[in-house]
Amino acid sequence: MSNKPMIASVWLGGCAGCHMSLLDIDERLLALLELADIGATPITDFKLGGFPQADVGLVEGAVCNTDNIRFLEEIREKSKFLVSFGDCAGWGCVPFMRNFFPLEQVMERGYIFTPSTVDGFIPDDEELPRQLEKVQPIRKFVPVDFHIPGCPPNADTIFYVVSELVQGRVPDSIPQPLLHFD
Amino acid sequence: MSSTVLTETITLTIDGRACNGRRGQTILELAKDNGIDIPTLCHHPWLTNHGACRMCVVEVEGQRRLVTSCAAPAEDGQVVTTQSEKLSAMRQMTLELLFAERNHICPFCPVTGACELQDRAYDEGVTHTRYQYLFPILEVDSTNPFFVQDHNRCILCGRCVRACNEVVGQGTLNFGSRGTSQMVIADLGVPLGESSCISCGTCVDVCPTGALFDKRAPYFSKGEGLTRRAVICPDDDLGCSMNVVLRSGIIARAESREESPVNGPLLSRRSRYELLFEPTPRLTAPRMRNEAGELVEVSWDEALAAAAKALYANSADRDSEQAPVVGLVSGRLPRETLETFRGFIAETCGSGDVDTLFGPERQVRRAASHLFGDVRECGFEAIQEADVVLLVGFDPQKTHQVLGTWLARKRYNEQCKIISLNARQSEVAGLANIDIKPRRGSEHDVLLGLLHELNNLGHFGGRPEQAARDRWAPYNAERVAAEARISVRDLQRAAKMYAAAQKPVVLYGPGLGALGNPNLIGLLWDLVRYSGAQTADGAYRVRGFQSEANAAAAEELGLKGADPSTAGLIYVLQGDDPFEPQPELSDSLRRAETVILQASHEGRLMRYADIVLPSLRWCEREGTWVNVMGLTQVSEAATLPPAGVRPDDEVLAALAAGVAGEAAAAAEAAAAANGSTTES
Repeated sequence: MSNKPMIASVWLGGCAGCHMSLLDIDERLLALLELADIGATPITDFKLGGFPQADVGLVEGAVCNTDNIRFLEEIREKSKFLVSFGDCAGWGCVPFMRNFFPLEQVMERGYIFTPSTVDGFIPDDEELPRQLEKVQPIRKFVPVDFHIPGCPPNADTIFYVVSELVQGRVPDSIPQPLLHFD
Repeated sequence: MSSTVLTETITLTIDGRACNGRRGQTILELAKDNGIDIPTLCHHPWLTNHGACRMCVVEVEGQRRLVTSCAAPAEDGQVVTTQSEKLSAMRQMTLELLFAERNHICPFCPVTGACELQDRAYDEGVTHTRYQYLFPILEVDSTNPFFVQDHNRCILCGRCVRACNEVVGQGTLNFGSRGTSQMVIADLGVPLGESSCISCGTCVDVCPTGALFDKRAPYFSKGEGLTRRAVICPDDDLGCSMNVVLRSGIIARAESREESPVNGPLLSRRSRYELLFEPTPRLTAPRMRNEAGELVEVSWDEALAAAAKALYANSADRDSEQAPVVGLVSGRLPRETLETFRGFIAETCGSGDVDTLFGPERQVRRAASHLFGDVRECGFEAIQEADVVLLVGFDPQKTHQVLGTWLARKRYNEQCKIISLNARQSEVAGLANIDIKPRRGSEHDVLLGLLHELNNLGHFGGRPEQAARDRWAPYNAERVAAEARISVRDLQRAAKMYAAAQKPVVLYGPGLGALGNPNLIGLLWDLVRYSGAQTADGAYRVRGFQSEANAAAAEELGLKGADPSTAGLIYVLQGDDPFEPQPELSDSLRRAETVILQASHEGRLMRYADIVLPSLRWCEREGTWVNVMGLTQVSEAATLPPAGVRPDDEVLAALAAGVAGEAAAAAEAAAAANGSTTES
């Protein structure tokens, strides 16, 4: 094992767009790997044995259900420095849109009234995570050390923040024009 | 600061720099004049300061609390700090609270990238909000035909409310409820589409966020990559100018131009929204009648040849027996196009019968100046300073909306009283202190009645000659009121109100000219002449407005009358004028042997046309416009015409060449015929 800092990432209620943008740093991934190891990402499906002990943990996606909370808490515990990665994790973004309707209506819409559904029902198996009444940003449940906004964040923004962090520097904020909410 | 400034000069220290300004300025204004930027959000240069958002807070030495610089008067000797850690922390907190209060979700907002709330957050390096979201359930009001109000993105800065009240004078928008339940509401909380809103869009213009946005091109019309073209509104003769905002050559929206000498930050519903839409299909190919009498599409060559043939056959120099060619042209076209058209009809067709479609209105005014002696009418200043406005046959809210807005604003600020005298249902009646709605056809009597009453009040002094007094004598208020079915008291009150005014102004509209009676205009001139209502530069406080935006240019060019009733060929250059012919003109068009129509869109005139040629739309023309006050302005072309449409001057030139070709061929044939006769 090298003694380079460890980066690990995960997604909760998100669309994977932030991770796509992470891949958009292109050949700079190699530069990043000079500086740090990437221990786990949703792409590796955690086949390497769960979420590793990490120096920098990136969390994409909002918190929508009980499973998200459980996972988020584990990541917080294992990450020295936790980064809210993208608008869903930090602001709420698209997953928030269901907050304007009662949960019951949202579930009916999803499982019963979708046009292709026949004899739909709302699943209630014990194994399944419970949906939260309101979707929340991750900071509602765990302390967050840094926020990268953006839907998705720009590749340049990601590279700037992550490479700073793995070198032990914490930016005060994100300089313009790297800072954007859309 | 120059020493010629008469007001008291004061000096402040801002961020360690000595800054000069005038007493009466706010700290924000003074800082701005000295090149120091203070972030703002609820402040807007068109509006009064409100101090609602607390973005512009500054530290003032000796004051315990932070001061909102947009609302705080600058005082001599103040020591002001605009950038500090404390202030930055304060501004960040303010922004985070704004983001937490309602549902601001930038990625799917139509104005993202052009949002002032977002810009301020970027400036302060805000990456998230530390506060609990409230997730209020709020309405999206899309009942207005042109814009949407989304309360989710409203920060209650009050710009729209102030614009609606202070700039437009409409007073539709205001705040309802208090505290966290405060909302921007229309009237008493009705949907915008059912409210008193006039859809001028000024609120949309000033909204710093996406709480108000245009429906036309919501994700297309803001941000970078836009081009702008300065265009004169072809809708009325005020000569309002606006920017047509384009993305990739496509019209995204219209916006006001602050530097416009006429309308400043104002635009009417017509120019901001309605003009951008095309109500009927565009004509992109010429059409001609086939044997069955249907208009069918033909090639340009075919249409131009047929038109040239018809024009040659009707040209005056061929045969004096021939019924003349009459040219009718829209007065909503640039001066250059009017001039080219006049030249074409004169030189190619040998006819002086050229007029604009609404020419008869101008004719009435000319007749009035013959009968009553011309008066020099007043400028916009006299309207701005008027304390009583008498509107006769004029509904500016409908036909000259920016002028209507000025009046509404004056009325809102209680700077003027309005008397409306109109036989038709008018929108301005809602604003009028006195609304007189006489029976149609009795306008003349009512004006005589008004003169009679003013004379009785002694308002005219010794100015009118006895003959005039005798003419009014029979028209006492009781008789006129009975005749016109109006209230005696209203007429008397109107006379008293007018007589008591310091700077009254009489405005008459196209409606008066359309009645065809020059006496109506003449009586108004008498009224101001006998009242001695004159401005400092000697103009009389009266002003008439025309239907056609370039009526003044048409008048200058001498487009002074055409009689289409006996025409053999009528050539109508309609452009994109939404003109509806009166019965008389319809009859003439039906009677004429040939009707050539050059128009941009399908319309009612097509039913009379034998040959239809495509024409340009307002935003595709460049040229010169002369407004009602004689102000000459240049309009830029904003878009390119669609394929198949040729510029009007090019079409007229091709027709002129075609007619010349016909003449040459005829001459040749005649010469050949002559030759053969001499031989035999």
